[in-house]
Amino acid sequence: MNAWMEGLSAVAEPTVLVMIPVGVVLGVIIGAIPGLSATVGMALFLPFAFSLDPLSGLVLLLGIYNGACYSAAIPAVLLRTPGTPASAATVFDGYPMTLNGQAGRALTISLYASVFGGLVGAVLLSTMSPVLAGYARNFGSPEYFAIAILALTIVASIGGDAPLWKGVIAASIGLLLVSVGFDPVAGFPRLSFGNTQLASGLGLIPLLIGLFGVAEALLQIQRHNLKIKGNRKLGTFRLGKGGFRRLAPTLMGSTGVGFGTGLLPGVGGDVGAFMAYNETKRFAKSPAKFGKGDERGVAAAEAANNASNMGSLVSTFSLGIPGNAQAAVLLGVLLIAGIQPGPGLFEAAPNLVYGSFIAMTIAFLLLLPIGIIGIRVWARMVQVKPTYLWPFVLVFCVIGSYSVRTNVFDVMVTLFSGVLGYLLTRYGYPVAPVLIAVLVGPIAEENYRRAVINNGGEIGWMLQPLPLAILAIALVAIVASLVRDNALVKRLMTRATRR
Amino acid sequence: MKSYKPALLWLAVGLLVITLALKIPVGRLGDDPGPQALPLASGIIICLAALFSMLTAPYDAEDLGKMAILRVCTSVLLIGIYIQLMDRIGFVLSTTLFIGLQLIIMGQRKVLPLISLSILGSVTVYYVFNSLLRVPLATTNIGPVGI
Repeated sequence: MNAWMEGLSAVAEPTVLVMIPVGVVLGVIIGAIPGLSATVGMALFLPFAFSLDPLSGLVLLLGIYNGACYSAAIPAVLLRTPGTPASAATVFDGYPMTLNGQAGRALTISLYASVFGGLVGAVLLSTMSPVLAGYARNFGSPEYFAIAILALTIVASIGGDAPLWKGVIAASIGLLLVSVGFDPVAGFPRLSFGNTQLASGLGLIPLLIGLFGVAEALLQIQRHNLKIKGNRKLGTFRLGKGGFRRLAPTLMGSTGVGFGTGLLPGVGGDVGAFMAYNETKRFAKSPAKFGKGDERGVAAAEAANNASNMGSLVSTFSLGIPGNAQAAVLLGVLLIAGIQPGPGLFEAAPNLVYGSFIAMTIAFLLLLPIGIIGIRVWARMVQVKPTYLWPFVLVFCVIGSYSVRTNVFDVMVTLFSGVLGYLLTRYGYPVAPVLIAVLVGPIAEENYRRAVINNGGEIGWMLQPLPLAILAIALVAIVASLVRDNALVKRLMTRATRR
Repeated sequence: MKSYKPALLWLAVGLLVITLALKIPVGRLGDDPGPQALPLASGIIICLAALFSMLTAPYDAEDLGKMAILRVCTSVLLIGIYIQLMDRIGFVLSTTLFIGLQLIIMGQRKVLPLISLSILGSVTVYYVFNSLLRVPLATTNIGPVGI
C-alpha cells in the first residue's frame, strides 16, 4: 500500500500531470499519420523525455505509446492503411464499414475498444507485475540468461510474417551491433578497430532512432508516389442503441486474448489482434458477416491490440526484458537515466513503477474524451502530405540523436542504422528483433558468462528446472515458427523425397 | 526472379564476423568464455541462417525502379552532408539547406513553398527545440548566422 501511495504522490507532481495528456494527444496525432507509428513517435520525443525527470519522461512516452496504439486504427479504417502492424486486423472490418458509410461508427468503436482493452490491461499489468517481480527476485544468472534467450527466440520466430531465418539474421545483427564497444564482463574493447568513439559502443538511442525513424523515412521517400485518397464521409459517430452492451462479450474475450499474448516477450500486438479477431469470428453466431463491416471485428482487433501492449509491459517492468519494440524504447529511457530496470526497481524506485501504473490508467481514461472531442481532427491527420512530412521527420531524427551527447558520431550511427533498417525492411527482414537483441543481448551475454564463471566453467546449470523449462519454451517457439513456415517445410520434404 | 545473392552476402558477412571475432582474445578471468563469445555466436548464427535460406528459400527479387533507388541514395547522401555541415555552419543554415533539397528530392517544384517551408521550418524547429524544450542543437561561432 505504501508503494501505491508513493506512486500516487509522484503522479500528483505538476510536470507529471501535464505530461499525461500531452503524451496522449501527441500519440494520437502521431499514430493517425500514415507512416508514423508509436515506436517512431517515441523515438522522436526521446530527447525531450530525457530533459524531464525520469517519471515525467516515462509518462510522456507511455502517453505517446497508448495514444498512438489507438489512433493507428484511424488510417486503417479510413485509408485501408494500418498505422502499425498491430492495427492490420482492424482493416478487415474497419475499411468495409467506411465503404458502407459507417466510418464514424467504426472510429467510435475503435476508440471505445482501445480504451476498454487498455484500461483492463493496465489494471492487470499493475496487479501482475509486482507478483512476477517478487518471484523474479530469486532469479540468478541462469534464469536471466534463459529468459533473455526466450525473448530473442520468440521475437525472431513468432513475431511478424517473416520466415524464421530472416528473424534469426535480424536478431544476430542486433547482437553484433551491441558487441561493438567494451564487453560487459572483462571491459575489453571489441570491433572498435582502434577508434575511440567505437570503443564506447554504438549508443542505444541513436540506433533506435535510426532503425525506426530514419528507416521509415527512407521507405516513404522510396514510395513517394503514394497518393492520399480523397476525403471520406464519416457519417454518424453514434454506436446505436445498446451498442456497448452488444459489444461487451467481444471486448472482454479479446482483451483476455490480447493481454495473454502480450505476456510473451517479443510477441507484438499484431499477433494478439489477429488471434482475437479469429477467435471472435470462430465463436460468432454469424461469422459470414466478418470481413464485410462487422463491428465486432473492429472491436476485437482494437481491444486485443491495446491489451497486448499492456501485457508486453509486464516483462518490461518485472524482469527488465522488453516485451516489444516500444517497451525497448521505455527501457532505454530508464537506462539512460541511470536506473536499472528489473525486479529491484519495485523496491528501489516504487514511485517510478507505481507512478507509471497510475499514470497509464489516467492516460486511458483521458483517451476517451480526447478521442471523442477531437475525432474529426484526428481523422484529418491522415491527409498530411508525405512530401512535407518526411523531411521534417528526418530533421527530428537528427536532433534526437545529436542531443544525447551533442556528438556528430551519434548522428552518423543513426544514419548507418537508418540505412540498415531500410535495407532490412525493404528485403522483408523484421526490424524489431534487431532492437530487442540490442537490449537483451547484453543481458544474455553477461548472465551466461557469470553463470559459467560461478559454475567452474561448466554449463550444467542450464539443466536446472527453471532455466531448462524456459529454454524448452524457446525451443517450442522455434519449432512453432518452422511449422508456421509451411512452404519451407514442404520444400524441405519435397527435396528430401526427390533424393 | 530467384536469387541466391542475399544468402551469399549474409554468408560472407557471417564469415567476416567470425574472422574478426577470432581476433578478440579469449577469456582471462578464470573460466570466463571471454569477450569473443557474443560476436562469434552472432557470426555463426548468421552463417547458419544464410545456409538454411539457400537450401529452402531463394530470394524473389523485386524491381524497385531506378528513380526510387536514386531518391533513396540521394537522400542518404544528403543526410550525411547535412550531418557534417551542422557543426560547421550551425543548425539553422544546415537545416534550411537540407529541408529545401530534400523537398526537391520528394518532388516539390514550386519555389515559394520550397523556400518558405525551408526557412520557416528550420527557424521554427530551432525555436521549439532549443528555446522551448531546451534540447541542445548544433551551434557555431559565426554569430547569428550560425545559430
